[in-house]
Amino acid sequence: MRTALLVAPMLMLAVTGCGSESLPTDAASAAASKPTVTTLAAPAGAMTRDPLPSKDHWIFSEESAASGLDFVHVNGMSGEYYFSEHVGPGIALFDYDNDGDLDLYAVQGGRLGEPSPNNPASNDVFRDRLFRNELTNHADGSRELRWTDVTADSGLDARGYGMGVATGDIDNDGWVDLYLTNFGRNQLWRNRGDGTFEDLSRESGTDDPDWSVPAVFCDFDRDGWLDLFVANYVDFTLATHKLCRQPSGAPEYCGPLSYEPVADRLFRNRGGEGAPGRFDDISDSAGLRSARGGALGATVGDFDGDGWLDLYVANDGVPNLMWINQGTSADPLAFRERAFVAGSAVNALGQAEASMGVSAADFDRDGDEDLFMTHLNRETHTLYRNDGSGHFDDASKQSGIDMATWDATGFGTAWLDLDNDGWLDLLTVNGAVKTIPEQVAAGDLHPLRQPNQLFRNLGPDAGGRIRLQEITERAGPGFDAVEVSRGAAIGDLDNDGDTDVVVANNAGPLRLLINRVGQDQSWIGLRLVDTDGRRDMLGAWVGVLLEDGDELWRRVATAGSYASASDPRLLFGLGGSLSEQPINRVTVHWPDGSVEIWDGDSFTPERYTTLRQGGNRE
Amino acid sequence: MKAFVVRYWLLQWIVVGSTACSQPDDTAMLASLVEVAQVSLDAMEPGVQRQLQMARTEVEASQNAKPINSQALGEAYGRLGRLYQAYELPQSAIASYRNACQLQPDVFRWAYLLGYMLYLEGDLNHAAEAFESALRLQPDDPPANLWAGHTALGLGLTEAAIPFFERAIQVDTSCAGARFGLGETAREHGRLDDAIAHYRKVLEAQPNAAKVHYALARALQSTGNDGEATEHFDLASSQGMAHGGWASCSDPEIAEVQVLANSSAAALLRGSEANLGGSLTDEIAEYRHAVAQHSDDPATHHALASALWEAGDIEGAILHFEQALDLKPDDATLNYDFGFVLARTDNLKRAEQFLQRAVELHPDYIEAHLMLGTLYQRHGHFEPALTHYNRILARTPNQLTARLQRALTLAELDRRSEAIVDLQQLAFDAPPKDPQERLNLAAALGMLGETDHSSQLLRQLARAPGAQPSLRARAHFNLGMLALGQHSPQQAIEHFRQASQLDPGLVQAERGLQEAQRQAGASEQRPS
Repeated sequence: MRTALLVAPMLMLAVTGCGSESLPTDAASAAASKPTVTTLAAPAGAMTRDPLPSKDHWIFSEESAASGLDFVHVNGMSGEYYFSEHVGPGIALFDYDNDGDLDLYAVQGGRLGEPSPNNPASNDVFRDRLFRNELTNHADGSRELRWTDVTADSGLDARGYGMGVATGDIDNDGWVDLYLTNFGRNQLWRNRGDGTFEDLSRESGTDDPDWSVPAVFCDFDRDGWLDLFVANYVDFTLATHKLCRQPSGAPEYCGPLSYEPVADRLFRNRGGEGAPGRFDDISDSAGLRSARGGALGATVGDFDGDGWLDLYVANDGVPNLMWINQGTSADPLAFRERAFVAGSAVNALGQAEASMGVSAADFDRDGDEDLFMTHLNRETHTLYRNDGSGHFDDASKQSGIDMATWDATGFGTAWLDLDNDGWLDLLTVNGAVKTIPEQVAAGDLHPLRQPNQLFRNLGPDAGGRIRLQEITERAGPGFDAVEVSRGAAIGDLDNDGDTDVVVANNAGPLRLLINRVGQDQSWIGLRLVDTDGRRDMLGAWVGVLLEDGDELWRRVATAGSYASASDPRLLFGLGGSLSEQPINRVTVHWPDGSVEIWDGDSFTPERYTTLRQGGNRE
Repeated sequence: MKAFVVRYWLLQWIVVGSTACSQPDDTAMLASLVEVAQVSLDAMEPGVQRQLQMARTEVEASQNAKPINSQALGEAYGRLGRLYQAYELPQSAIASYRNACQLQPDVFRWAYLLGYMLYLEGDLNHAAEAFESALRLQPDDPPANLWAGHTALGLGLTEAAIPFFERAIQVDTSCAGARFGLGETAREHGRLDDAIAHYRKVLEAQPNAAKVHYALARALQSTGNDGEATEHFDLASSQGMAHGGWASCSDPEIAEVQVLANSSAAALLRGSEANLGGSLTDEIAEYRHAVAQHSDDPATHHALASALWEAGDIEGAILHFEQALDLKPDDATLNYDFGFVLARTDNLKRAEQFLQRAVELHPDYIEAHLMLGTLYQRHGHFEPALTHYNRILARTPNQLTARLQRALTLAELDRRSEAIVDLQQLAFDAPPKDPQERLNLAAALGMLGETDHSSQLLRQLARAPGAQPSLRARAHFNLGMLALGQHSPQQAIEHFRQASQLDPGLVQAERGLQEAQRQAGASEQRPS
């Protein structure tokens, strides 16, 4: 569609073309609004150390079938090359029954268009599924994962053509709710707390009809209630479907620029007005309509370090958006788009890339949040390093991630400390969006397959540059299956203190990757909850100061990656032998701006600890 | 491997060693060739299938000849490689070029194209070797030097890149890509002033190179010149970072490859690229070519129709829209586009027919509803206009244009108070942040007789610090119109003058000024 033909009619007259600080063990430190920034000296030999503590076993074992996770995604492909076929799905890990372990929500697709000889099934058979985690701790210390499909009992009846999922407690009742993004109207499901969910889509005001992919829950206005950001993609419907072609004339999926982008939406939770779980669309007043792109990724962070939570939106093929929260108590929901000036809109060459997944984390341990995005093959994935003032430099080349990802079209991505050495490693899950000629020639019906990748953070070299080394060959058999991966969620599924992964494949099975190396090094786990001890404090920024002076920072966030929701708990790998306790203190910047500090002696290694806002440690 | 390349480049090819294009041993010739992946031709256009099949057959015939003529076989592989490259089948193209290089080590073209494809595929070490072979054959070739320089940059060999870029510029002074490369090397070494100077020179030659504006903005930002940096960020952003925008150089080898693709899809792609490059004439020529070759493809007619409309050839546009719709009557976008063109050319009955068809096919087609609403509104059919605006707002309650037009329509239906309440609510509860939208809101309020509120908004816009002059001019123009409506011609004169000063191209302001002066003169002549 030529933009020249999209001129809107003109008007005729106008010629218009968190709570107060408490229990500080160190008052001076607590008063500081910014985390301590630690400058790291380059450890000798950092670049030559063994990639992982042990080469004797794989990093992950693949356990989907063994544990009863039998979900297979259906994308409805019928030979029509509908654009929405290859975009989903995401995946969610969340504790829906509050039994202390992560359950799993799998997003389903379905048939697109009318039944056809290629695709005769009724759409009634396709639905999202909820799996309950039946984790068993055996007497010998081993753990066994089993999954039970509880979809029917849960009341969840999500039969839209699913894209992604976001998790958060919208009404502060301590039970995690679900927001589902669809190719079609989105849905909000409230967790009743009795194992069942109720459909609040319409009443909540969040049933966005546009094609949405990622969504983010966070308390942007610091009123104690989770707001909701929904990122929309493009104005594609089956009625506006175009058949795109390769230069040879062979049919091909269209790209995002074949359709108009759709504006994203920000919904404010009216819980503070006595209407929890009811939302107002404040996209206009918050300033979010001043820019748009076809969004596929979204995450939250405090990118300029002012204490207010910002949004980063990864757009497909056009510059990304960095919405800086201008937050003031008078106008707590005013955003300004700053990606260009901040250096995070386009890569070092000035090229807008096809951003899909995004993950924010302090990968270089300098106390601020950096950004990583997955992209189309030949673009390379991109690592933007924050200088601490909200300005970013493209560090892809320095880190080595650029050429290592040249051939990959990436979607889900996550920073995770694979071996609990304190340095965040990186996962990317891949799958093409344009057919791969060699796979077509081989007769593959879904010729978009690409291998997933795993990178280890080697820490700084002698020049202070952080290098990421590809270690996919050590990842394990789960990485041998070359599939069309989209969503990826991370979390400690077996509660053993290391980070596991679930990968959602387009037109393929879920992959459950259980970490087999992380538990060999010391760690602490934290859950951050509100003053009532119920709601996970999404957006809290937590620093663990080690006795050697290094400080590890992590943000409580379920969003990020690609259309997926991850474990809200934080894991800090401490890098030493088990039972070592090298923590000096733990600092928490709560989403409302308050700061609390706990003494390091309060934490037991290899244990999860709950930190309640207000200092009531459990 | 990297060390090998570094050493090699530092030697500046004094040492003639093993390269990508080495002389083949006759007896081992066939064994030394790499296998070319046979991509499936099944789904390709018949003309493309024939083209590729012929090239493959030529390779087979040369291979089966006795004795084998290595030159002929090399040519055949090279031609096959160029076709694969033209149809974006990179792995097959690379394998074909490898064989062409092996068989014809003295042919510059194969070594260069091999290097180019390897660079695009991210195999920089092998690309470096191939460019090295190419430059040994033609040391002064600007594109080969340019890409050798970029390959060196990609490998982190900044110093090694500089002589390549310099050589390219010496031979082709218009090679902005090489100048940009020098800017990049300077920036990587922290010589920001040099980098800025290079970027500025590139922009003198290619002022629309968005990515160069971006590079310049980043360099300026690093030197603390935030003001000028912002200007270039804005220029980069406004010129579209998604497409092109690179500093380029003339490259006859690549240009020859591109025109080998003779499918309609390739012609459409080339037309689209011409559009992005701002050349409507080239764009139309490509689409005409596509239509001539593939008259049964609705997409080619659609593309040509849209380009002709943009060029002002209304008759031609209508003809091709009709042909496209004959071939694909149930395409919502095609129906909307044709309806739009008909509406804009006052062909209202037909416009309505196609726009209605668009919303039948795509019930949530916002642009089509908006166009229909405006059409009905303009012709006094306010009830159906309201239906279409309501349809948009049911789906997207904050669609501002629909909301404003709905308010104006309500006023026409004697529901002015309802309209005013709605716009006041909009103005107070969720005022648009975008200045253009605020201007629209102010204008609509003015049209509804809410002059105080309208004036207040317009004054804010007229005085807004940092607002674009054209927007401030329009705010003054609307203030002038309000003043005229309130029989205050002197105030109107003042606003129209300011509007003209801020935007001399705003002809309506000049007309307004004349009307205000006429009213002022009449009022002076009127007896008290």
